[in-house]
Amino acid sequence: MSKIAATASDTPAFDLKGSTFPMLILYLYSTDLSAIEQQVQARMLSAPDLFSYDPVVLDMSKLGNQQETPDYAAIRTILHSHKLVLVGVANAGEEHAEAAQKVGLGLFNGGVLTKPRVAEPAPVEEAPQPPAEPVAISRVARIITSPVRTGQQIYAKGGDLIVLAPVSAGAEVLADGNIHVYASLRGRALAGARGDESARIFIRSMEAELISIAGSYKAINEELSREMHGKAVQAYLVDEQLRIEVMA
Amino acid sequence: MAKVIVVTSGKGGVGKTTTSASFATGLALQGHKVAVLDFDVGLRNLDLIMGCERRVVYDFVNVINQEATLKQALIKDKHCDNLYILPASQTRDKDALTVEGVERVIDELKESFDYIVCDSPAGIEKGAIMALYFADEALVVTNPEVSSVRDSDRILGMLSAKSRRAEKGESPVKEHLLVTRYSPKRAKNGEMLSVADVQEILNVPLLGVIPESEVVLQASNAGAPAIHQNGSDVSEAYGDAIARFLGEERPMRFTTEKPGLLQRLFGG
Ligand SMILES: Nc1ncnc2c1ncn2[C@@H]1O[C@H](COP(=O)(O)OP(=O)(O)O)[C@@H](O)[C@H]1O
Ligand SMILES: [Mg+2]
Repeated sequence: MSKIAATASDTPAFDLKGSTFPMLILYLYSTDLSAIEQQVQARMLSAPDLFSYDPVVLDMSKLGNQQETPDYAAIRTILHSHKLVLVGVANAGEEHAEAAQKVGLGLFNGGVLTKPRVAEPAPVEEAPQPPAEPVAISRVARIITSPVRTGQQIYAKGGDLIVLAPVSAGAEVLADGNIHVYASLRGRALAGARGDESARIFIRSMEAELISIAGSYKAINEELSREMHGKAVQAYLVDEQLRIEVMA
Repeated sequence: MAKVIVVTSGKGGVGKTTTSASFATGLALQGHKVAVLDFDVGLRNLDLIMGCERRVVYDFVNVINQEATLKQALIKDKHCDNLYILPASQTRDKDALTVEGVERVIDELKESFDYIVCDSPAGIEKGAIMALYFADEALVVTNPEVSSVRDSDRILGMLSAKSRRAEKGESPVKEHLLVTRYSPKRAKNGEMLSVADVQEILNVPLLGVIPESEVVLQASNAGAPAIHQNGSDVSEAYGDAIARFLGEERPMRFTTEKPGLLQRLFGG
């Protein structure tokens, strides 16, 4: 460390450091603006307050090469109206990347961003890697001790939700992480609300109207309800299919 | 310390006004000083049930607007010396009540009354929120049917989120469940929910069960709260609920069918 006394002129105005902020990824399957708009709208409808201007990266890896260059500015506007801020694109081909740069978006390239975790077991690595820097995702659980009543919505942003009282019919509990309900769940539960497919839902007494993980949902029909009514269950995704099973 | 009790339900026609009148009267008959307030501005039912409609000169809105003093507007009950009624206005709408105005009225009432019973309008909007806002305790009036239970659940959510106690982070409003218009026979036949069903869904301590009875209509025609119909099931049931409210333990009655005459003679 240098011992030069700091004067007004050489007081640092900033520090530039590397970081690994967790970020939302939006995988683009199509460049059709009206389809994007409609589906974003539909997805947000169930939870209008899901986002508060969180940064999001557009991943182009699922977009076939034949697709025309997306209208980034328009996509940015659509996302912004749902409180998402488009900050950059990832895995874009040369042409797409150039267009993104022109409208002021950052470029992320393959490997920089991790894919969202999925439920299937990770492939075994040859040699154990040194642990990566801890990711800044908040896993602090939100704990609710009083009943969640009809018409109420509880959302645990960035983490798990633990509910120690009944959730009424017509009430909704959401979490970015897992949801635990140590009482009866008669309303709706949506875990992995921002796309975490590894999120799970645990219910002491299953009487739910709807269960959803990372957007895959199951409305609980009569047959399901007959099978599971009042039982302890867990729900999770297997190959993007929602599975609900009774726990012993 | 004076206590503010709201009688609420979400749904209309379940027995809030009937309960407000009988509950307030029952507390007064136990020697407490009680004021009962009609928050159902625009409908004004409580004065009819209390039988004082012809003596209404000033109302709740007049007091809020400082067109009359509280003393001028309060009507002394014709049966109980320590019971007063503050009627609603018939000509105004629910927006006429303001939080500041209601607070002033309730604070003034607290100086001279033990209990302030607030008869809530139906719904979960402004009028109902106003009635429950200052509550210390709540009687959640519920009929044994799905829609009424659902609305009660909503109003319980309001009590835990929108009341002053909730906003100030104080200890929550104390909730009591009162199942009214209960018919054990219809519950047994599966035409209605049972008391146990209602309690299981709402998860609130049961204060009492008021049976469905024609006595309520007779009382309303006579302009005297049903609790005055001495010896009737309804009067007894309200009496039990009030005793429990005041801390007494009483076994739950009127939850099972009364044995018929033949059953009584020959055993069931
Ligand atoms: N226990 C009861 N048995 C029979 N009828 C009742 C009973 N309680 C209330 N009612 C009737 O139900 C109707 C609605 O009651 P009310 O007290 O005005 O309800 P709310 O104030 O909730 O709208 C009235 O006609 C009343 O006579
Ligand atoms: Mg009424």
